[in-house]
Amino acid sequence: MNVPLVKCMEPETSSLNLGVYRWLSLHYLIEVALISALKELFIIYMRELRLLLRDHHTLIYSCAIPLFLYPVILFVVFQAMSLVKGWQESEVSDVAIVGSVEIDTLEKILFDEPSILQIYLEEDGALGRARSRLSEGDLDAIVELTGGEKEGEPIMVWLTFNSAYDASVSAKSRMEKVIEKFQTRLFELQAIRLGKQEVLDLALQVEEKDISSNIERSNLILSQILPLLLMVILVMGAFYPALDLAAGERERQTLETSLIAPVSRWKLVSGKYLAVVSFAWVAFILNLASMTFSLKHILVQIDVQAFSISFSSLWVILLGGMFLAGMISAILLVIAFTARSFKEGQSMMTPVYAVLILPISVTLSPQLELSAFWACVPVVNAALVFREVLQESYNWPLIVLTLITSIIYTAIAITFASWFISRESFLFGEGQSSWFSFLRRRAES
Amino acid sequence: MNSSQLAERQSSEKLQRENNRAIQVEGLTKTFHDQERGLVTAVDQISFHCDYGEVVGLLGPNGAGKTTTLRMLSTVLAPTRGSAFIAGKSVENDPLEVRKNIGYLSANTNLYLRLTPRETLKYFGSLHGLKGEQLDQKIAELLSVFQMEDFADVRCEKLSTGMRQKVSIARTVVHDPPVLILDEPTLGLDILVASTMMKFIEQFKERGKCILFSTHIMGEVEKLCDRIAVIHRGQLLALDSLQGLRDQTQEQYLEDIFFSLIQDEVKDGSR
Ligand SMILES: Nc1ncnc2c1ncn2[C@@H]1O[C@H](COP(=O)(O)OP(=O)(O)OP(=O)(O)O)[C@@H](O)[C@H]1O
Ligand SMILES: [Mg+2]
Repeated sequence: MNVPLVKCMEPETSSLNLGVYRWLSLHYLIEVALISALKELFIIYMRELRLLLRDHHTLIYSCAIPLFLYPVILFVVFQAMSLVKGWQESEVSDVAIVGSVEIDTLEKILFDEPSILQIYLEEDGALGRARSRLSEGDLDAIVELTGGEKEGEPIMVWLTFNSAYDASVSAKSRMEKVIEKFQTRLFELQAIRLGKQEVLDLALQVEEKDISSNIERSNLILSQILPLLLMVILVMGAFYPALDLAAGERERQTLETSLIAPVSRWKLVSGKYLAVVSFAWVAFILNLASMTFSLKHILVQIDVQAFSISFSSLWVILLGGMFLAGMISAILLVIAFTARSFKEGQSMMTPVYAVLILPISVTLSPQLELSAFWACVPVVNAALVFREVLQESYNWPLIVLTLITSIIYTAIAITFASWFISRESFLFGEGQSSWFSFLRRRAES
Repeated sequence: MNSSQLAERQSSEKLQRENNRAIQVEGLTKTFHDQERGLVTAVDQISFHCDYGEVVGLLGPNGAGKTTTLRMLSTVLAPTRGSAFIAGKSVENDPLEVRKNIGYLSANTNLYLRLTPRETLKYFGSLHGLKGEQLDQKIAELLSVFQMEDFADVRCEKLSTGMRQKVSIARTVVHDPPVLILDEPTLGLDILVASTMMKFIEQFKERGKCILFSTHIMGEVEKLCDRIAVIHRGQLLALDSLQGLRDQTQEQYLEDIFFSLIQDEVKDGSR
């Protein structure tokens, strides 16, 4: 009775076995090919990281400068501003006053304010002239009084200033205090006159008007300069590690030591690449954190119009930064490999900066938008994605395209570097009859 | 069995034998394109072999091509012509396997100075597939064999030349390779450290390993080597035991043998 059962079972078990075998061999493949490759990559990566962490240059350029750049800049700005503020406080504000409503009351209050030099305008057309003087910075503020002619009609106070000039901003805050006193005084007078409380809120209305158009422009520039600065920091953060792991390795004669390790050359280069990317990214994150902190805490303290960059979608910014870090690190590593020594690499720093910053600063132009074409141009694509992300506009297909092309370019760069370090001229530091040696000679001269 | 089958069998037997050799070099040649000197033949059609349990010394004046030869064997340089097999693996086609089977040391394989000896051994050990307790044990063993325990956790940049050389040799043998290729391993060492190095090579040989090393010190070669290779201007002039070389040149001391071989070559060249 058991026989048919067994027969029935047989094919099943064998197919199960086959499945297990298949699974096992797949597992084996993954284990051997992938995991061991990753393990080796990881070992190399950790070694490179350790070397970099023990180097002062790298730590200064990739960690210290990005971290302390903004606090230092802002500290300097802060000192300068408090100095300027001191001057401004001792300076008298020129304020033009137009209109005659309750002018006596205002005049009495202004009499106690020696820091405000008031000019009374009565003739027709004077207001127009005052406005143009204000926009040129000749005049610090205009106060216009209207209404209040009939009983119960509110008095309007128009306070016009120009935030493009610091003197005007301080004149505005001085006048605000005066207007407050003016308002209180009017309340008191009205209360005495009418004996009623209800009309009080009707008594005075204040309108402020800023005639400056610069504010928007300066914010716009700042919101583009800050990302640019962030990118400059990123390049700086990647350059020293790249130089140290490529040219430095040659200089310290550890290249052959690395080459005789039982790993393929692309893993060696990839390990270096990952270490450089890590440092670039750390520089980027530290810089971003420092920037955010500085803008939020220091600028608010000194009462400066904060720049309007939104840091709400932080992770997307980090992603955009990673794009850029990945691309720039690949390029820098390849360039650093062509330098024979650390010193020579440093002399290549300036042209490299120029070459990399140029496509990045192209993104300052608002007309340039991420398109299928630009998504295929290395560095520019990552910089554009970064900018778009900062402006919170996500064009996902193009972002994915940028990601794909960036990976391809990075792979090309790594392949090139792997080939390059296998060259004899690289091993012995004598590149001949190539454009590298041409560039090198130029860099030397 | 016809003749072609016989030839095939013979050649396969030869291959078998050669595969069992530690080092098998056939017509190895390296030329450099030098900007000043034009084409330089650093190594010129060298053929030889080394077996397991054998120490072979490579002697030659400066610029003879010793380093270049050893570099090709270590897969750092690709040969221009010819072939080389180490532990049966082709230097050209299977460089990864070759690197797994050799320990290579030369003046150009400096240590990572920012790492400590322990970290250095850990790095190379783990790349060679050692892990966990096995790795720790191996490191502890090497540290005690080379008396490096005192400075095992000091960065190599702070160590003396001798200490560094000890770390380097420990690094080359961390994976217990069957073949050791050493380019002037005693360069810059005092006689104490140098003799430690020589003792180590001897022990390595006794464990059935093959060691090929170059040097300028005749005493080391006389004392240690089973066979001696003399190379000059990229060419292998002789490869024999000390006694064999004595018979060949009718000289007693290695120094004289060396001069005699090289002067013959100079005379040949001037003729
Ligand atoms: N990268 C290179 N480019 C051009 N010529 C080279 C290069 N490397 C070595 N050579 C030449 O090859 C020849 C052999 O050099 P090699 O370094 O192998 O000599 P060696 O026997 O190790 O000498 P030494 O005892 O001084 O170490 C020399 O003439 C050298 O100038
Ligand atoms: Mg040499």
